[in-house]
Amino acid sequence: MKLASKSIKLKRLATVSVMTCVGIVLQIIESRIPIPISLPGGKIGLANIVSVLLIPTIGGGYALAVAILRALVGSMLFGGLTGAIYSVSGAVFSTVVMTAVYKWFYPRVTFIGIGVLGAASHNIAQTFIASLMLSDFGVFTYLPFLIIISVFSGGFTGFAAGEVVRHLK
Amino acid sequence: MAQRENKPSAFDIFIIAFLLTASVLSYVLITVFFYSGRAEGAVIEVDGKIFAEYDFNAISDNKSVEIKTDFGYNIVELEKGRARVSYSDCKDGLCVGAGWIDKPNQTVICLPARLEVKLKGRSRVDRVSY
Repeated sequence: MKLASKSIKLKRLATVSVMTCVGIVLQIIESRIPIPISLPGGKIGLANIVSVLLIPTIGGGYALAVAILRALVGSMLFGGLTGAIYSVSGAVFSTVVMTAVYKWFYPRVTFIGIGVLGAASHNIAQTFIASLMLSDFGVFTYLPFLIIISVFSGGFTGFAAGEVVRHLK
Repeated sequence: MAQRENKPSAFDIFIIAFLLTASVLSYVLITVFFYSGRAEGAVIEVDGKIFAEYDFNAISDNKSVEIKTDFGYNIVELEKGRARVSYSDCKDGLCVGAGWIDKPNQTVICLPARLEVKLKGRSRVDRVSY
């Protein structure tokens, strides 16, 4: 019994580590994709696939751990301390929102809807942090633009995660 | 849990439609009410504090402002009625990519440098609130 619970813990630890790595690799791949037009603040958010994928499979708590770890390591690779504050706040808020939506509205809201809401809430959290750091709520005027992008990027990542989940089971 | 089909549900489409409509609507409202009129000056802020303030009526043709702080190094260019960030040592360069701004309340922001360039002027919002 003790051994069994220990091996489950180890399995989960291993899953968290592997999934964090997958997320970081996706971030690196994304940074290599050239985007022809300038969309400040807009990105595909490939790593969000990992979060959407983890919520139904090992649970929101682990998904949150992976999201935070990935955001921390990702900002060490791509940004500085300021970047870390944005990434972590975005990751935490979006994972919490996605977990709640999954818990209460799945399957009426599918992974596509979860992905869209996750991406949108990621942007809302980051805009909020930006407005606090610059102490100017004018930053929110940029939010509609970000949300339009997040509908497409979140829809795509949600769809991708849905495909993975469909083939897992 | 296993979902046979990976297609958006009616709820998904509702969420997407709601977000798109709300964003487009607020974008239109913002451009019509918030970013209207003529820019009369520029404020440069670093980390939420005012770094410099310029009146477009008081400056000669072109002005280049260097902003060197603990957070980064930027150059802001000012012309009569418009402004832009022309150089930044940040990695993403989004602030430079944003280009010129020429309407009141418009901003260019460089998050790594905690820099904000904002245009002042009378917009419809100001006229309503004053």
